[in-house]
Amino acid sequence: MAVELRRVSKVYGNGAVRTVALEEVSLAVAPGESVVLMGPSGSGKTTLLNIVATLDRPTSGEVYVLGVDVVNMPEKKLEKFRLRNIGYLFQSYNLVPYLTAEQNVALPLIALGVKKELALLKARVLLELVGLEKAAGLYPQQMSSGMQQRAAVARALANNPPILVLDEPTSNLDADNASNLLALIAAVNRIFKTTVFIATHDAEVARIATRLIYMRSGRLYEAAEPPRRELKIELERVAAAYEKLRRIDELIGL
Amino acid sequence: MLALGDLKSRALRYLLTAVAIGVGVALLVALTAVSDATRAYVEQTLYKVYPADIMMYSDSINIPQRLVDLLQRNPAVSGAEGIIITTGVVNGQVVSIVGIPLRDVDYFAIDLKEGRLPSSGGEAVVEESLAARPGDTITIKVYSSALGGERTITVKVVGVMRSFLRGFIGAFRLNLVVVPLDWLQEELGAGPFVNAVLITLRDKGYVTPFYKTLKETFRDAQVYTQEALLNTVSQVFNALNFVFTVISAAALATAAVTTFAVMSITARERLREFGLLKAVGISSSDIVVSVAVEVALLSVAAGIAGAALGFYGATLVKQILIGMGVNFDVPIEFKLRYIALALSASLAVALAGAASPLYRVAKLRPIEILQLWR
Repeated sequence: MAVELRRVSKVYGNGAVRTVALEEVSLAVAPGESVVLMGPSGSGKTTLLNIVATLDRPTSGEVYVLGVDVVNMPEKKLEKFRLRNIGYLFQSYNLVPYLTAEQNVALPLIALGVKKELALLKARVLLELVGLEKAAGLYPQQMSSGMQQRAAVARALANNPPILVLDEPTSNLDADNASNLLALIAAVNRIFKTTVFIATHDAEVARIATRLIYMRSGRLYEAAEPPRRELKIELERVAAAYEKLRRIDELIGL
Repeated sequence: MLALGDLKSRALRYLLTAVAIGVGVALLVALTAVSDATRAYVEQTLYKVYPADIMMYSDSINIPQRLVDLLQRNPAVSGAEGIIITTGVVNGQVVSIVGIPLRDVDYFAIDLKEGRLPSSGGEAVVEESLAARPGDTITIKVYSSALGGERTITVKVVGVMRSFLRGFIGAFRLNLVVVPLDWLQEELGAGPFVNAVLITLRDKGYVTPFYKTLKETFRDAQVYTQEALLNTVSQVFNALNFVFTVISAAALATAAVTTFAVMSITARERLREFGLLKAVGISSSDIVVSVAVEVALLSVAAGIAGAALGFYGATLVKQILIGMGVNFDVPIEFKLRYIALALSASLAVALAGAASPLYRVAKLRPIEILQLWR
């Protein structure tokens, strides 16, 4: 399993202000699946996502990511685990404002110990993959929100993480940009075989789900069949970039 | 990459922080440079003025000249000079009259400004502070219990000497009148007696036993060693350095508080960024290191600028004081030690100021940061 949650609960506060964000949640996700979590605000989507992304720990229960128990893992080890295995995308503020697009994308590689030149080389190919090859030298404030989200996807893919976690990735985008971003994520999911977790309010996102899960009051309700519809995805471009990336990864030793 | 990027994006704020640290460091370097220069100058001058290992002094002119001759014949002694040091008044101004043997006048390293050294009785070299010129005649009233009251002597000025320590500290303005010893003995009716003996020894190892012997033999006389005199000077400078240190510490503490405030604000502003970096998988230590590198770059720049500003500031202040007529002509020299002092002080100040914000950043878990702006 890529991710396995066993009877996971998350409780914030105590006494009168006690809030149950997740209640005895169990979930098993196979590698390459695309899981979309939907539900109203406060239903526990982001909490679940943060636990899967190892950013948060449950109050009780077991969490295995790529077969590793991450609940009892020390914080230092968890940082390294996250760097290698999880790509994360927020709904906004995904890029460091004083770094260019390519520097932002290269950041996780440099943190992994890859030489700056090689990291920047891979960053440029990743930007090509997301259709931002001409924006490599731009700073976030010089880019539209759609471009910033695409650059953030490139950064999330930098260390070839087996798991990609996206929190409301389309909520700040217009319809066209949202559709383009979803097409990109779908292509990445298909070609990279990356396991994708998305929390969203946007029903359109369900189009790229292999599993659609509704959440309410910290509980999961899985849809029998996700309403998967074909997106006009740019498979050709992503596949071409994927080949280049593999060659660079050989150079880097990833 | 992160460190340089943030430094550029908050350039003005960091520049002002560097200025705060730099000013504190500059004050520290300036005060140290002035203190070093003054101490070296005073010690060097003292050695010139008092070029002996031991000095024996008596309030009355009662040390027989024969004792000086005996000391000169002692195999441990390389030189002994008997002199008279007394005080008098010229036109209401207190002067110090020093009688030195003409044959050894070079020994006293008189710093002549104009004229010449005395070569016969009644001739004198006077200190510039007395505002006399060669050719002038000075009448001095001399008081001495040994003489049984007041006596008047008249000298002809043949030379003017620079003030000891160039008179930059009032206490060293002695208003000296240097005259031949035998003439002074005659004028004062002191006979073959002196009241001070300067003794130079062949080996520094003889100083302590000689000092003890003289102390025990001449109980009425005061006996000083060169070392004790220099120690006294050192004590004065140590006290001065303490005051300087307190002033510098206050400036550096202000700089540390400024750094703390700036780094706290910056850390708060950058919480989102730190949360993002932590969520991406950048380790807390990498983030802390990147901020510490910023602080270190800032402190190195502030340290070097502070060292330069301090040194040139001290030199400039010296020139201004001289221009204002204050005699402060001490040689201020640049030493590599000042760079080390400036760098270590600025680094310590910057790290002290940044330590608490850095610790807070390191301790925050990504989820705590992300929840702050959710």
